[in-house]
Amino acid sequence: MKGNVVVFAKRSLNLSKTQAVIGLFLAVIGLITIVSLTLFASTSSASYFLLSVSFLAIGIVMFPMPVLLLYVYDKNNGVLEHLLSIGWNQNDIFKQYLKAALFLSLTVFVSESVVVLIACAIAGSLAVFLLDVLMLLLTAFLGLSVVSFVMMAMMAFSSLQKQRAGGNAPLAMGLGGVFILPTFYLVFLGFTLEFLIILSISSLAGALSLTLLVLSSRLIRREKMLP
Amino acid sequence: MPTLELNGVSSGYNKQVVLHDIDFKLQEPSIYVVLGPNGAGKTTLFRTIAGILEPFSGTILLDGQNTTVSAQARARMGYSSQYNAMPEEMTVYQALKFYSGIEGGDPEKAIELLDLDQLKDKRFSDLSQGQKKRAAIAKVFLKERDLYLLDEPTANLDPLASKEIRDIISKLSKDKMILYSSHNLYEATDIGTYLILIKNGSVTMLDRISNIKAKNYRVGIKTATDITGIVDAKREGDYYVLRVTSPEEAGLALKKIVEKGVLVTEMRQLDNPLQELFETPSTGEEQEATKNER
Repeated sequence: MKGNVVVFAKRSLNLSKTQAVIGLFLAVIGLITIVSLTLFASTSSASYFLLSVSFLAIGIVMFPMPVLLLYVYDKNNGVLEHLLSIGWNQNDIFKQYLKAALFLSLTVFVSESVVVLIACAIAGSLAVFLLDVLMLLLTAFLGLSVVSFVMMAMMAFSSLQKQRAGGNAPLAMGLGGVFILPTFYLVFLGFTLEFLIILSISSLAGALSLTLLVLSSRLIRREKMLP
Repeated sequence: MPTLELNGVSSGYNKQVVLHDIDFKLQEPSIYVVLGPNGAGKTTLFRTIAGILEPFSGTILLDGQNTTVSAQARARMGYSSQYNAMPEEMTVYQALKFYSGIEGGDPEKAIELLDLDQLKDKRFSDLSQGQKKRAAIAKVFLKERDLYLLDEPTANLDPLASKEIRDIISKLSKDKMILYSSHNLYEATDIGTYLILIKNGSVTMLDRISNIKAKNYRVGIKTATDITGIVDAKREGDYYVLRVTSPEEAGLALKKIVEKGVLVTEMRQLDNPLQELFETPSTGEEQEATKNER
């Protein structure tokens, strides 16, 4: 019954590639950081490994931003209205675009993981491998939580806007930045504290996005999705 | 045969009431033209029937099933909005495939029904307005449905493209119930069998269009001969204009003219009988009187 997530994801990339390219660029910086550390540093500099989490996650957050643009575009041209007419509700619509965004994020994350695991194999250290796996898990948690929150918040915001001029991309990036940028400054706090703070930020973003998703049908009235 | 019944339906946006206590029952497969000026509430009525807007009060029943809560009832309706609601970056076929992937149906069948074979591989954004509208309407014909809601399908189209769309819809209307909104009087008489007149959010009339007769209408007669001495006509532009009260009276006038040996090259009704309905302010009595069943 529900639409194909891949089709929605492709449509968003057809609509705009700028943010996706910036997202890939940031992911590459993250990869350079973690691969360098994997190959040349030891686990004693674990705190620096966490820095790569921030870069890798910001790539994951930026890459699917065209989905937000697609949401506004589909609202303006009546696609959302049509989806409502065939029996979808607000929650179904939010979930569809959220899934498309998460799909795009996952493609970036999987690519990042492959590169990191190859670097691990070259390094040949079990300790570094375990540290890298931990970093990847943390990246996935932080990146996907923040993507979910940014998407939900911005779709809700775009629905409530009277004048819908675009995808509100700068605001969305700013919102993502609120969660991710502080993690760049944690490197001097020590691994454990830094790790716990990133975990907390991720949990907060995840919890907020889940709350928005659950409440979406009550928060956003159906007429707010009409052109 | 489907039955659509609206009982005391009030609806609108946020807390603003646009439709007031709408009651009607449609039982016959046919084209029902929902006619009203801009802002009368036609789109709100369509959106409410389609389940896009939840009514503030009242019920909408399709064969006894409440369309607000029954997914089964909703699946039997197809709604085409004023907006094309097609992904512009896709070809016509891809766009129809996109929707069939969501709600099922057969893109090939819709392409055949709307005669889109020549256009199916063209990007939607590259089509003309008329072609876009035809492709947009096709998405509601992906699946067989009992009730079609077409909201101003010919808005902003030139007369030729409008006629083409109306012809297609007429062809597809066999055994189906089609609600077709318009603010164009001539279009209403051209395509509709029934008229649902809506003014200020209230339905003020529901009747067969053939039952609607003008109190006074003007007939234009084109001839090279001066006929003012034969009938009570006035010259207005290319026509001699007669004010009559019935088609019979117009026929008798024509007979009188022809019997005098005058060659009449054209005779046409100059005003639309719906014009009077459109211009008359609605009253409470009218609304009560027209809460009839069809």
